[in-house]
Amino acid sequence: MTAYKVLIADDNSVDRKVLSRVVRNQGNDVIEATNGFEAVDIFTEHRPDIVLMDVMMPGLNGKEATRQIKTIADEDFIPVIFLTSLSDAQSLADCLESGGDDFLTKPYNHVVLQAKIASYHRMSEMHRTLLNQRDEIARVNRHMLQEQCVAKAVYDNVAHAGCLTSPNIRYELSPLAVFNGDVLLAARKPGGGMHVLLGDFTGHGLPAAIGAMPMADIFYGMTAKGFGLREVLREINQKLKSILPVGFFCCAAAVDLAPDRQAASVWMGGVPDCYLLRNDGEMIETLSSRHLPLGVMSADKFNDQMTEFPMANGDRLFLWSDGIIEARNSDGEMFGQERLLNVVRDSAHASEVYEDIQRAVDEFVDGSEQDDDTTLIEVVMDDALREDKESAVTKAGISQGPRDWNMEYRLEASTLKSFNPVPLMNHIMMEVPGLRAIGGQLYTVVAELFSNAFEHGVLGLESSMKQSPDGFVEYYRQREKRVAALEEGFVRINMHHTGDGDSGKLTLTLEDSGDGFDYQQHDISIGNNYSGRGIPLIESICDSIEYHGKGNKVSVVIHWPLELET
Amino acid sequence: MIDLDSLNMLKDIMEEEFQPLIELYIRDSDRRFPEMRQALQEGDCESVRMTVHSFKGASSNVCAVELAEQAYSVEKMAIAGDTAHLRGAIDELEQSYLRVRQQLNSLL
Repeated sequence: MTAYKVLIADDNSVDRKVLSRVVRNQGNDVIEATNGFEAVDIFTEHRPDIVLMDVMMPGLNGKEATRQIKTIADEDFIPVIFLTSLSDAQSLADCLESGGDDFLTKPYNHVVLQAKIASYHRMSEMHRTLLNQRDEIARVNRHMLQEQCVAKAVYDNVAHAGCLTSPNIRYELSPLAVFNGDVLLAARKPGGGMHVLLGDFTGHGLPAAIGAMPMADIFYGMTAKGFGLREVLREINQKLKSILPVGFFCCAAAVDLAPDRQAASVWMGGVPDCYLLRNDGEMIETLSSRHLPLGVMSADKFNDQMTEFPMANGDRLFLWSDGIIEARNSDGEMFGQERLLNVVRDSAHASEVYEDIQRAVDEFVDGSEQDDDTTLIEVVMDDALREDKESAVTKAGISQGPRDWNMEYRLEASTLKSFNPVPLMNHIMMEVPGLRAIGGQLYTVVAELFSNAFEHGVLGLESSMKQSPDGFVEYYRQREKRVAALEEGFVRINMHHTGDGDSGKLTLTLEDSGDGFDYQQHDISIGNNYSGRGIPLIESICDSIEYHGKGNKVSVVIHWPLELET
Repeated sequence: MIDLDSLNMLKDIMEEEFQPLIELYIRDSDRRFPEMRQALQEGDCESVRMTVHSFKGASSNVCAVELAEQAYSVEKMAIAGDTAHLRGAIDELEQSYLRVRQQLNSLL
């Protein structure tokens, strides 16, 4: 049986002695106080578990002593049980009202006395547990907020606002939006214009925020180095795919704003419809997602196809995450795409749409207890973006890097069996700042040319086999067999680049040890879609394709900057 | 005068503290009557009430049930401020107490 520390306060020594003896006989420790003042002093010093308090005492009476004890106990629950010979209802009620927790009427029933002491002790234990848990929750919460602050600071350093403060951009993003999974990034391109990315990660809290860090890192890093948005998206997708758990991804809308050609290229995956508004007209053009969100598809299946929209000065793009559409009013009703479209439609002018949307959403959610996670951005085409101080600086940067160089790389049979030289080739080409913007396309070209040289040239596989599904399977069966048996052969790769820093010419020549093919029998002019040699993939970027000798050597020429097709 | 069954139970509970308790009761109570008379002379009914209230509790603890009841009626008089009857009532209460004291002494 547990020994409780019991304070007995009674001025009547006979009463006190008897009660004290009873309580001690029941296994408790007793401290005695002979009046109210003593009771308060002893309480402060000994912190008993429970107090048995006589109501009527000279000096400081029981009720007043109780008040003082309760004040000293503060948050701790110290049960005070009044001892009274009064038995009328009002006197007993008075005891409780003055801060007592219960009463015992004289003469005491010993069984009830011990039961009450034990019961109140359980109650104060429970109270202590409750306080500890409350403190623990508060501590954990403080810790979490502190962690979020640190995480936010790190995040802000990585995913800084970039050029979101540009005069052609207006945006709304709650300060802790990162923990809602919303991200807004904007960066000037070295050659003028800008990249804008709006992302909405699945989930909330830290899991949603964490993917935004590599995303921002890649976005700013690659944009500054002159990579095209397609390459940036491809890289982000691959990174997110590899780091995020299954079921986590990032819905995104990305814009390559190009004032030099008065156009915007847009990539949208998993975000709600966005709008393009003309400065001089009432027509609303709807932009819809055509892709799966970032981080879903593997690198080889990722589609980086962008949709190009001509944009004159003052034309505006409006992008948002689903936060705005799912904003709820006090009835739990959602704002919805329809209401949003009506706001855009009813605006007096394109330049007022941004404020109208903000106002409409604010009015709609007014008074409802909802999280502030509406993310909205307006991007205006502005000729001033073409040239600016910032781009002048980076333009100097773009002129650096290798200009005139030649490199030859010959791979022998034993190397060809297991080594893929394409990433290395691509890495070397990416040293030329002007080639970075077309890194993805270049990669495809080199990969195609190499696989032609290796598979059709060195291994002697017939490309026509791949035309039927059965042949396709057979092709790869044969390929595996021939790779295993390969003892002789080579592929020679030559890369030659000339340039002046602002433009350049890259010539890629691949020669293989194979028998070649009768290229004069084929129409190899650009645009011909014959199978197996991957030409359609190459034609969009290469200025010329030329076969030499018996057809085991091919040269392609690429000029940069690319003439972009609209 | 004294509920002997209850007193024996008290003896069992208090064990070696029984005799000191009874002696304490007698010492306390002997003192109370001059106190009450003094207070009454000063017209301090509240003080009379406090003392007789304590006496009532103590008497009840030593199983002097009738004495406690008699003390309670005196307490009610003190609460009512009935000074006219208090003096006589205190004298009667003391007579009863002296009898209880004698009985207790004989039991020790």
